Amino acid sequence: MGTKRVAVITGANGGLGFAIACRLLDTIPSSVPLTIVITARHLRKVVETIGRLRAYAKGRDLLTFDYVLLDLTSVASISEVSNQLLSRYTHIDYLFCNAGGGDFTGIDWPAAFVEVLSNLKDAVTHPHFKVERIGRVSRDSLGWVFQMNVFANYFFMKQISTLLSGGGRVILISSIESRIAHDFDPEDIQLLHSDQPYVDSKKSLELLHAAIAKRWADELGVLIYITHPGICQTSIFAEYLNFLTTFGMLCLFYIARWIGSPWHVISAYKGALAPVWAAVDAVPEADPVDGVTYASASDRLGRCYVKRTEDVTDEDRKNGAILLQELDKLALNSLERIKLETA
Amino acid sequence: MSRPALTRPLRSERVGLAQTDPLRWRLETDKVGRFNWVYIRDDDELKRRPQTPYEKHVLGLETGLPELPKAETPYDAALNGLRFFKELQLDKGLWACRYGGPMFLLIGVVAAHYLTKTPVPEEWKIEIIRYLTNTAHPIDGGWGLHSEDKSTVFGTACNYVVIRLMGMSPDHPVAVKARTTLHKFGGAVGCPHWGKVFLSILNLYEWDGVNPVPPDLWVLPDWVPFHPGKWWVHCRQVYLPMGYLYSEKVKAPLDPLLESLRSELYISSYDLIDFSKHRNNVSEIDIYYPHTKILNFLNSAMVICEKFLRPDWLKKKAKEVVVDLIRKENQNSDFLCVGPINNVLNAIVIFCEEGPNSKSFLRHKERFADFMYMSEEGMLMMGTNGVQCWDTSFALQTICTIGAGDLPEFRETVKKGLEFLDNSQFTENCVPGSYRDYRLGCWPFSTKDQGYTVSDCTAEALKAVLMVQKLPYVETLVSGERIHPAIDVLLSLQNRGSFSPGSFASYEKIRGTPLLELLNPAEVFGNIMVEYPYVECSDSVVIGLSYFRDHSSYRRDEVVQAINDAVAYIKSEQDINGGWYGSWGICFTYAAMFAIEALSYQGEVYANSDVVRKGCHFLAKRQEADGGWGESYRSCETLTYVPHEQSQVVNTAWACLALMLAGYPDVEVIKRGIRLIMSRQQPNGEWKQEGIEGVFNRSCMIEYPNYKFYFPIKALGIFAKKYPNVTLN
Repeated sequence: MGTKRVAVITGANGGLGFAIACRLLDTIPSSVPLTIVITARHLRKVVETIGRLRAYAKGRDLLTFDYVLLDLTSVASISEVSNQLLSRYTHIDYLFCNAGGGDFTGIDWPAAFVEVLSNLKDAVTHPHFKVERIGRVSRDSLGWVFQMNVFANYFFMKQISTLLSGGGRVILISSIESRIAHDFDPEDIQLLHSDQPYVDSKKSLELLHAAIAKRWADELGVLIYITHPGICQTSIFAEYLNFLTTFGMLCLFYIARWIGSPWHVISAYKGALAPVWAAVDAVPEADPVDGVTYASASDRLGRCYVKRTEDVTDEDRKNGAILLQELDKLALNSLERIKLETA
Repeated sequence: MSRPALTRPLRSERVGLAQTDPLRWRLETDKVGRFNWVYIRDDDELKRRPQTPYEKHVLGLETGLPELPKAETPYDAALNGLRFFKELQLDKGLWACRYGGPMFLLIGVVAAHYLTKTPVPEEWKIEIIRYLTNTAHPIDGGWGLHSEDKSTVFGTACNYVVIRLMGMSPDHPVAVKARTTLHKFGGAVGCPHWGKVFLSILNLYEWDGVNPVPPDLWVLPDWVPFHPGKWWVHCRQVYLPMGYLYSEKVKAPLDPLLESLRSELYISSYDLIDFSKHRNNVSEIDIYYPHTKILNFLNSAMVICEKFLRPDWLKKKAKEVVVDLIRKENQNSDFLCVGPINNVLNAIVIFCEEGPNSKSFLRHKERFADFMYMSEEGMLMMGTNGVQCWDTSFALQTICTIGAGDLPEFRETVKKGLEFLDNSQFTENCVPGSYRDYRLGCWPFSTKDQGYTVSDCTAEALKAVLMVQKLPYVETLVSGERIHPAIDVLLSLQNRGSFSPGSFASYEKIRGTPLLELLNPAEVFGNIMVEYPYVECSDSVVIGLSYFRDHSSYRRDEVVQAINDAVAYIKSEQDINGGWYGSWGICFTYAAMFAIEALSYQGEVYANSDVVRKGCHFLAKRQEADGGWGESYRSCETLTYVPHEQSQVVNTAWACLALMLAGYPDVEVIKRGIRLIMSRQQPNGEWKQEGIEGVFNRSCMIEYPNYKFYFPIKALGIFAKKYPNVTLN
């Protein structure tokens, strides 16, 4: 019997989160006691997800589930959830910061046609035609998308860092789309003026990683990996597609794969390869902790593998440091506010 | 989410709330165990009636019970525990129980008082406010479905109304905080169904924004598969008066306080809200069991039917039938009703039908107090009118099982306990036409007056009575002839045919198809529409019948057959990992204890039974590093074993009992559990309150404070008997 491992997966009810959980079950030998902590916003989703995972893990004996109800757009919720985890666990081995989202309003169809026709591979890899709402503010008065995809992850990691220290791994989930992000704007860190806050927030997440990975590894013994799942079909954009367009999208994905896009893994399970591999199997000495991205990729036949890219620039590190400063400030403010509110 | 244990000073003290004098509260009871907390103002009377150790205990005062000689062995520890526990017995022979946990009950009793203009006693008001202040969520100030839950719209909206109607100012920090949270959730429009009903009764919501509760279903012929008579008793008895109130659109007259509340509960102006659009608006935070599409369709259809198609004669006829059934429920339960929700709803119906000075309504008014329980945190409303018979049965069984029944110091305890069970056996059946089964000879969960038996309660009481009456110094109070009708009823309660044959459900035999769950309108509970088979109920009945089988030949063949069928059902319910899901206690440790005890009575133990072996391994693998077991209430919600933050004495006792009854070969495992139980025992023999112990409908937790006494005592005592030569160190 190995020692007990604990994995926390945010947003485990969604496509990729659920796939990460499944993949984790397939990767960690069943002789190792494993606890999977589901985070979702509502109990109903938790119950549903645990039910599905139990069915998937049929008969696995040393498997325990737990849950916390987490709303990434509320610092109070993160703080409360962190306290719950601190009271329940002595260590966390894997934290998958999977939950996140964008404030999409739909598809710019004419633009989509033009893009697909002019460069199919790019169009279905990092499209410009998904329309995002600009300037949404959260209840905590922060940029909503920025808070959910960047700050929340950092704040959460920080709050439970004692549980992660000494060998825990944090898996951040970025997106291939970050390649079309705007340049980092120190004047608009919360992305309130960006016309593509989702895309830009993923870039910011990468900057954050570049800024903290080494320090967390050296000082806390926490390995933070930045990964992306490639392109897979998940629910994040599903509400803007109907049966036909979903089918069309799938076709385009397969075509892209056949004409040589490595990123079209298509299924969420395949997309979960890189995150789970980074958590369980990556050898820390193999790559500099703050310099690489691990991505799920696929060959033409759909055989998937982990693709390693090194595209962190000095500029990124510099911007990352600026971002980090801001995040630390926000974290401090948040803690003070929570303290005041609970007094 | 889960609230921290009681910390001193209580929040009510920190925010400077008024408090009644705890030294003036007394718990009155009668020979069938009625609970009435009274506040004594007269100083002379106060002197004449010193507080009992139980009253002091539950009010958080020093009990004054002596420090006992330090227990060196499990047996001594068991006796020390029993010495403390016997002091808590009430003079009528029963053990009292604060049966709190559900946080959606106070709104009912407060609404009933408000609508019927029945004054709420001043000391209740003070203590209800104190209780809600002390149980509010430490961070957001709201309330949930049960005391350990996260804040929900249901809990927060209802209890906000309660504190306001009990006299708290809207500017009080406790109210401000709760209201802020409610507004953050989008206001009270997101309340689940029952919340909407209560708010409508108080004229704080509009009936056309409540999904239909058609009383007309009662007019259907009994053979219709979805006739309400086939529903689970709690469900049908709640929707019965709710149907009346919905159909008649009963509401309290508007007054300045309610006007003010209308402006406090919502984020937009009350008059601008189109309530009919909010029928299906239920906050995601609250939902445990979402509506099915069929239910949504039927609701919409019913709204239209009600407006345009429902003839007056049908409405009138339905009303007649419903009122008749409500009167019968009142008669069968002496106005206690099956639970606190239909208790208050029935009272409102009777008030509407018969007026404020009618005999029936006056009796209702007297009965409100039976559900109100005083505690150190303030006054709460209980999930039933108590746990009298259930607790007393286990207490007596424990004393007998560990061999303490022979000791002179416990003889009075045993005799008084038997007297209570003797007084509690049902002596008459329900009135005809009330959709109730035979109950003659059975025992209730709470009291004889309340009049409802549960299969496991009769079985456990039966076993307790038989055990006690075997003691040489005990006079046989319950004769064989009085036991036989109980056996008859138990045999009749076994499910046959298509619904989980061999199993036992809770109050009644399963009458309707589980497909009816598709119409579950409650949103916050799972599995409420019909009776379901329960492992623990089946276990208890097997245990009771097995014990009876070994003492009597009455209907021997049928008893044996019933046991065999139930055992087959119990085995079939074991999940692939070896666990059994517990529906009434938290959770897998609870069900494992019952299941393995039932199997052990058939001679199935670790050495010869795969099922028992699997059950034992399931438990052994979940032992914590400190030797204990601890299960979170989240086990019940998620249907999977979720460990508690800390080992729990009660879970540890259940797991140890299961392993010992199974004859688990690795004594080390059991020893470590026993050591943990002993290490948590206080010098006076008691164990301190830990996490909540019980559950119903999967999502609502409920307190069984006496579990922390009799189950650890039983585990220690059985260990001493079974392993007399094993030393703990």
